[in-house]
Amino acid sequence: MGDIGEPLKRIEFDPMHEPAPQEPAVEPVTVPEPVEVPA
Amino acid sequence: MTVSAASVTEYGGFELALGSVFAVRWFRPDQYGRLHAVNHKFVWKPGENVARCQREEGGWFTTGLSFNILGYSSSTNVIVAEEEVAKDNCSCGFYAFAEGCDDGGYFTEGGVRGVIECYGRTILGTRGLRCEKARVVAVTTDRQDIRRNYPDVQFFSPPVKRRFRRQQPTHARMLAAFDLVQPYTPTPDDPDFWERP
Repeated sequence: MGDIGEPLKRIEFDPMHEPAPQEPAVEPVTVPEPVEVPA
Repeated sequence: MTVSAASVTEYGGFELALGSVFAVRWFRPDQYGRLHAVNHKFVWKPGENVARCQREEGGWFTTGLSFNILGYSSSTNVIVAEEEVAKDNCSCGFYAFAEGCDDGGYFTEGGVRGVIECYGRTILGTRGLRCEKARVVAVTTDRQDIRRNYPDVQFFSPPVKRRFRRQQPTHARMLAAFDLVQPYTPTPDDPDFWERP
């Protein structure tokens, strides 16, 4: 695009942007097994 | 941001730093309110944009004006790894300029001026920078389609006349909102001042 002039420094910037919101963790739900009832 | 006078004549790699830098550049809007690079096929998207080098390992990839710059890949271009963008031996990367250094022949009627946040691998020069990653953070325009397309960008209204010189007051307000990269002029205090080319 154009002339940035004489190079002065080379830096790798980490912007520390806030991470994207993640899906809330869902705890596994244990479904109790059906209990057989004697007739 | 003011760049100190460290010489990089003998390149030894990229320093690591937390944060980012802000610099000025022009955009070319299209009929859909998208912001394009001025001289190359690249559409700036909201949020993070990542530059990709288009140079083939065995030579320059050439398709019209879009060769070797700025991340536009149409089909089967050989793409060098993203982390290699902003290299010494290539001109790849997003370009932006220090305050007062962005008007050298790149203004076109209908163009809009803006500020981008620059990060990732970045080469800082005396007049500007080129970098691996960037996001548009401010634009001077009243076009509603542009404002709609870039919801996270700060917008500044242009004056009635859009001639470059008349944009200065509005542009100054936009510039004042950011800690911009400043142009650097070497002085005799620099260790290699008298040896610089």
